Amino acid sequence: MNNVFTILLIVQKKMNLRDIDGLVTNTYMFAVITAIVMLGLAILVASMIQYQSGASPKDRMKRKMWFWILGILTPIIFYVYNLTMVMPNIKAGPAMNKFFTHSALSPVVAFAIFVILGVVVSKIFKRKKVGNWFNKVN
Amino acid sequence: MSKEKKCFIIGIGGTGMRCLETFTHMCAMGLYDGMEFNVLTLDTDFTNGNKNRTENLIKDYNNIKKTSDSENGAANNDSFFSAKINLFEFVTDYNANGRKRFSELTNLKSENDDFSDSKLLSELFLSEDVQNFDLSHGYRAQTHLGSYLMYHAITDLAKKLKSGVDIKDGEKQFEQFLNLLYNAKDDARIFVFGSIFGGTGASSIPVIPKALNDALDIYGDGKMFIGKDAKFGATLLTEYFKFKKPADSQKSNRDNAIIADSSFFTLNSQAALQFYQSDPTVKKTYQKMYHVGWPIDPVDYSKGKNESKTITGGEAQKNQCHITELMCGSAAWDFFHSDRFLSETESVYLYKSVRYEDNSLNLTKDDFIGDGDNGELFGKKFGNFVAFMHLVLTKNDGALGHDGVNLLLKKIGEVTDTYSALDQQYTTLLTKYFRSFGYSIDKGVFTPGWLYQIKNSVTGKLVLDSSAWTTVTKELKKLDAGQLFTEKELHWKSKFIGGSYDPFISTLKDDDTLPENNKNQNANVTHEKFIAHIYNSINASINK
Repeated sequence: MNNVFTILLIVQKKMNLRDIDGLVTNTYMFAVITAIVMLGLAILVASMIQYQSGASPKDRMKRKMWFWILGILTPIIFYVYNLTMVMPNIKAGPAMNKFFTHSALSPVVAFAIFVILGVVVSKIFKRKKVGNWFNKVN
Repeated sequence: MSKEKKCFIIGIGGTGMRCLETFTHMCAMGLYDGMEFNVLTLDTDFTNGNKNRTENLIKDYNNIKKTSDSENGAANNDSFFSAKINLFEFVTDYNANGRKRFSELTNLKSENDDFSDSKLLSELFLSEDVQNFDLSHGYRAQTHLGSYLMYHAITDLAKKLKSGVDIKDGEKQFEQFLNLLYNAKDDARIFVFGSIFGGTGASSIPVIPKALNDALDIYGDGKMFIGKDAKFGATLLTEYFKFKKPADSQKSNRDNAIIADSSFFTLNSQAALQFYQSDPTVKKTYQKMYHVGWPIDPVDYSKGKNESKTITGGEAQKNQCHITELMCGSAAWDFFHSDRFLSETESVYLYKSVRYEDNSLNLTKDDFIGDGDNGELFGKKFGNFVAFMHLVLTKNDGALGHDGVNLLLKKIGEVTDTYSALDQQYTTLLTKYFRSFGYSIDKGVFTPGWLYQIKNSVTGKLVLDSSAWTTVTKELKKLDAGQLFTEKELHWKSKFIGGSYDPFISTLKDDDTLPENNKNQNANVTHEKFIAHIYNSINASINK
């Protein structure tokens, strides 16, 4: 919550080159938080999908699908957030140039964190529904 | 109760076979935990539909249990398919030339003297029609003839086995059974399934203890016998079904001059009961006799079959199962689990009554093997196995021709490869077993297996809630395997949306339900572990 608060404070005024280092750090931390929140959502969705019976159950495929949908949405949401909430508050010029690279890289980091944590959670709780995320489909 | 007891079951005739079918399903339910049975099927007709159906069922049961060490697997505890069954067959072959009728078997035909002792004696007891009808479809309710022939078939075979000449495979099975009976000595407990109103069973029940003992005596050259403290039990099953009355035209030829007429079954039952009540040999040999009767109209086995003539036996005799046979199976359970009355010097007749109200028979879990703990045990084992059946047939489309066990197995396969050694041959066989236990649906037509045949004979409640007995495909699809009982405390944990299947699969994936955590189950090989795992998961799913 502190990171969100700091970023909100920073974006209240146009930032210059001096403020960018702090903003970059906070942006990466926020990317990690976004990934964790989205992963929490993926866990919730996976748990809500009921085990299905019969000759062609779709439950496992649905859990996988929702994991990757939320995984793809994570960098998109984060990039849109940077684009709409953070970048308009950065002065054009060197400050913007410096932040631009990180604004492109941080969604990738959010995605990577989402996937890595997803793999870890899936392997730890392989007997639970989240265990389906990286199971082979028979 | 002696821990050393050796259990033997003899199923005789068509009704005896259907009782054995029930017994096998009770073993599959886990009602005979940790026990081993030597089962002898005894019939006059090797083509009989009921006999073949029962023997195939037991063979399927044994293939499900088979391990690399044992053809029939091992006895397990606290699990399904927990009893070990060793099957032996004996058929008094009346199909061969010169063995088709009494007159041929006894050589009376070749005797020239019309006033020989043998001829006069046989004419005194047996009419000409009785001496000459075709025996290949059984004794056709002629018990005076049947008892004589069955006794001689058994003792004749004993003579042949002793000679050791030209012994056929089927006859070797009887030899094995005799040896097991002898080796069991005083620890033998022998239970006989059969009716007392028909032909083969009714003929054999009175003579079978003496016939087996005399067979051992002959086979062992006077040194072998059934232990003096061995215990015998039997069902005294009176009439509960009827069939088409034979037409005079069918009785016009010599082979069919005698055909069992079900309108005499009540009379037959009365006469048989009088006999059992007064015969000193029967009273001395049997310790417990379970009187099972059917107070309601007999079920008509010819109904809706459009039979042109009375079916006397053979492949076509494949009658539906009936609740009285489950009562007989329950009687066997009592015989093998209770020492009550076993020390009596004279037969004890046992019976229990059930509720019949407003033209319907209502049976609860307490009406089979007793109330209290026994009732709880029956309810749990019966309900859990029916639930397992629904998981395979209903939830995973086993009834529609899919391999339901394999689909259930795949759910466990998501988390463990413990059962990866189970091949499709095994899962297909287990699914097939459940179809014969429960039901199958082919082109939208519901075909009842044992369970639904039993239910069809009960107009009222049968242990489970009435909604659990639906045979409508759409309703079956919605049936929750965890909510089969009326009593809520026996329901499985369930979710507001989706019912109990989702929590059950979660339980199935828990480490707690692995058989490795319950050594008492004696589940050592992969398929035993799989069955025990399902058993544990169903138990763990029940709300308590």
